[in-house]
Amino acid sequence: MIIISSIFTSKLIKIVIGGPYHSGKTTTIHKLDPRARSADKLQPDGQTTTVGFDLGKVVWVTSSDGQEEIIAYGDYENNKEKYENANVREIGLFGAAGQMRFSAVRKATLRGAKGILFVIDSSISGHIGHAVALYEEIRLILGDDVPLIVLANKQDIADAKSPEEISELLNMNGVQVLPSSSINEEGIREALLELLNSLEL
Amino acid sequence: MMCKTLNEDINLQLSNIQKILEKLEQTTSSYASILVSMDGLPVVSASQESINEFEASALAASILSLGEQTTETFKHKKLHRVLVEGEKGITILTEVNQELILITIAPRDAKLGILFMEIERSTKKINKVLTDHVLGA
Ligand SMILES: Nc1nc2c(ncn2[C@@H]2O[C@H](COP(=O)(O)OP(=O)(O)O)[C@@H](O)[C@H]2O)c(=O)[nH]1
Ligand SMILES: [Mg+2]
Repeated sequence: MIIISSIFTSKLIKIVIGGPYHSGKTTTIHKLDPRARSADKLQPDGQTTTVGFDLGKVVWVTSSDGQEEIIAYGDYENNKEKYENANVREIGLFGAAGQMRFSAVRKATLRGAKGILFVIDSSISGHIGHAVALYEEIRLILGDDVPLIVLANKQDIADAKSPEEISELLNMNGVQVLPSSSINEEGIREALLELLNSLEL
Repeated sequence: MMCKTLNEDINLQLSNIQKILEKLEQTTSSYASILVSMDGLPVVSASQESINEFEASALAASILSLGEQTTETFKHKKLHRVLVEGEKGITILTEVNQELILITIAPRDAKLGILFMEIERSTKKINKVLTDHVLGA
């Protein structure tokens, strides 16, 4: 039996926020949607890390004059009249745990993703090998056709590598690398819009 | 025009499935049922309480994948269901087919035997609705 369940769920576009541990995935989702939920675990060092689950919802609004915006779902719900004449699409933001040992949950999270925002901590070059392994895992699971954009995150840190340097280190053919500082809400909406515009919907 | 008939067919299937879910709630003590995709997205639901379906769907897909991993680790073969017990209620996740999960929510004192049996019956009916209408099959 073949059932194309995506026919039933096409109202919502699933976007996965992936990338190594501590790169800023949870921060990105919570800045885009302040009501996002996370299953975090407190680490011995007082930091939290995602154990399986980050979930947010935003809307992608295209107004009649072609202006595009990303709005937290809650804000959209409270001002629906404002967007009556706009084209509105719901976007589910699914954060994928970065640690290698969470591969089983990551697989489930990646399933059905229409696009990937791949977040990298540009201030730690030690993350690059791990990032490449995660990237290869994504391609293995989703194939080569699902659009992916790399966020060279934490650009606010003084010695952060530039998107060009990150691109060179990653050596992923033709993958776009954009600068961001999730914590300052810089670059994340732009990157998400860029990704959404590259989807085949 | 093609699109319209396809849409009508989908809506008919969804409303038939919704009836199955409503029936499940009438015959058991469960008070909410949500059919979700393995991608973690809501498909259709019948619920007597307001539930965040978006969140429930994502959770269900994650938990079911861990359940599968668990049965594999202990060589228990195919996963039947995942049961999550809380102080005030229980959540049952049942694999309907390769693409769909049924979430059933019931009070803590629910009779599990009856619930499992009725869920089994419902999943069969859901699969029948899906195959009868031949969607891409
Ligand atoms: N300086 C700086 N820190 C950030 C940025 N984004 C996230 N962080 C911090 O990096 C740490 C890990 O972030 P988190 O979102 O939990 O990473 P995750 O493991 O990928 O989900 C936290 O302490 C964040 O505050 C950023 O753009 N700049
Ligand atoms: Mg996290």
